[in-house]
Amino acid sequence: MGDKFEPKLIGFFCNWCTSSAADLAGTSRMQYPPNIRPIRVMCSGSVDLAYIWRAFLEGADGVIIGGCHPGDCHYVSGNYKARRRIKIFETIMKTLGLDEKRLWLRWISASEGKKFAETMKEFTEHIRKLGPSEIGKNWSI
Amino acid sequence: MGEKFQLKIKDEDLNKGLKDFLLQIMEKNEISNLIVPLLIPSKNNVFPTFVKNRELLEDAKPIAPVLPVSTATMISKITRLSPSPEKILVFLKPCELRGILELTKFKQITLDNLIFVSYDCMGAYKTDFYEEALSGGKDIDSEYVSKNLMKGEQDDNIRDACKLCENFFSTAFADIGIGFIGADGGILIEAHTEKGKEVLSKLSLEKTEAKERDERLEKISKNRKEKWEKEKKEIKKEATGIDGLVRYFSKCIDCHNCMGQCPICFCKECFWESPTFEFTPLNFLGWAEKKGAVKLPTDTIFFHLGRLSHMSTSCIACGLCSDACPMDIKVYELFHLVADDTQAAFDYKPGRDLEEEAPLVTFKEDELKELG
Repeated sequence: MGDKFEPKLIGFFCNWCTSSAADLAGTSRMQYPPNIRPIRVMCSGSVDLAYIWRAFLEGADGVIIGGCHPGDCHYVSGNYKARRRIKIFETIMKTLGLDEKRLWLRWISASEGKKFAETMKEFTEHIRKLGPSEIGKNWSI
Repeated sequence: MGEKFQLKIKDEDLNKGLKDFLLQIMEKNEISNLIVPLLIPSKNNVFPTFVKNRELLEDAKPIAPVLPVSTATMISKITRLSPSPEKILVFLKPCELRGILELTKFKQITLDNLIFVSYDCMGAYKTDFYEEALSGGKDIDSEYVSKNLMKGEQDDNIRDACKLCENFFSTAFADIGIGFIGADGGILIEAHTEKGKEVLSKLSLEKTEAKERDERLEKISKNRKEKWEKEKKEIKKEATGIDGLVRYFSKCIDCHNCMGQCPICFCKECFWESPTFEFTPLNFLGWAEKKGAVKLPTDTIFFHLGRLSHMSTSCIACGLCSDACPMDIKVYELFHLVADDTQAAFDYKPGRDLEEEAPLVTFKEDELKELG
């Protein structure tokens, strides 16, 4: 890899849509950057903001949450709740100068393998441009 | 708003006058329970107290300028499991009432049979300052009444959070509000709810106008808002970025006292007190390896960021977090700063309206499209 900055990315993907899309992308042999470390969760609505803080504080350069499209949540409304939480997270980051651009929320359904691969590419490039995150460097957290 | 009445107090002592007023309410409305700030037997502090024996009310200090705990938390302890079978009259500060509203939304308080009386609060002193004054035999309450309460002013020793409080007057949620500001030199009594109207209808009170009241309240609120906006800029300068946050919380010893006193942090099983934070040596080896070092205790910034994520949308800016901090960190200022923004994101004001749902327990399908 040399001196090139390789972003460390954490993805929280819902079991029913975005994780299935990741599988589809894989079985369809679509290529996407290996920077993303996917974590399968049952619902985007089950991602407590504490997990996202943990990821950033332990050195993630970017975090992406993937859920079902609005109206398609397996648990009816989990993704709407996730969206509200992400809004809170983003607001806190903004207020405290923590670079809120490092957090993405995307809706990717089980059939959108291509969209998954493309989104991961986009996100990796986006974070690559932003450079390494400062948040995870401090050991006094 | 309901009709406004004038309360005549014969004695100069406001605490005694208000106590007599509360007793009058109780007598005429057949209420036998009262929660009111009361001088504890050692005579050196005042706590919200559940009083049954009326003789003990000789030591009632309704407007005592001290906030050792939030009455909201105390009411939750009483009515969380079931509603009170008997009527309870509760005298409390506006910030405590806002806490009650939020806790009711989170089903931590059952409102049945509770009747609230609140007042124009000009702020409280830090508990140790107040305790010291009482220990020294000082009549600090009377001083506070003449120097602060009746003039609508605040002396230097008032708590920082109180100095910035924009919602210091009895809110619309109080069944009965007691006003000192713009009360034409007297004491104003106002029923804000149907319950309050019914309670007051049994008393014989003289009507009054208090025309200048709203204007004067607004002026004080505006002044404090301006002051806060200025202060906000200072805090933002100080606590920006991860390094700024580490500096801001550099004295944090991970005691979680701020959380313990926060009226909004009601969770019985707090994430930060859970086994998630029981680690093995491997965790520490990993952290130290990755970053070169790990400060002990770790996860202090994580704790504050997490608490902001969980409760800031309902933060009522009471300042008890700062009071509870043994290291004198300005917890309240930072939380208030963030809360202002997270609340604005949902056009939400905690303690404004019981019908207004807390941002984290509801959603709209058609919102926040910019996020996805």
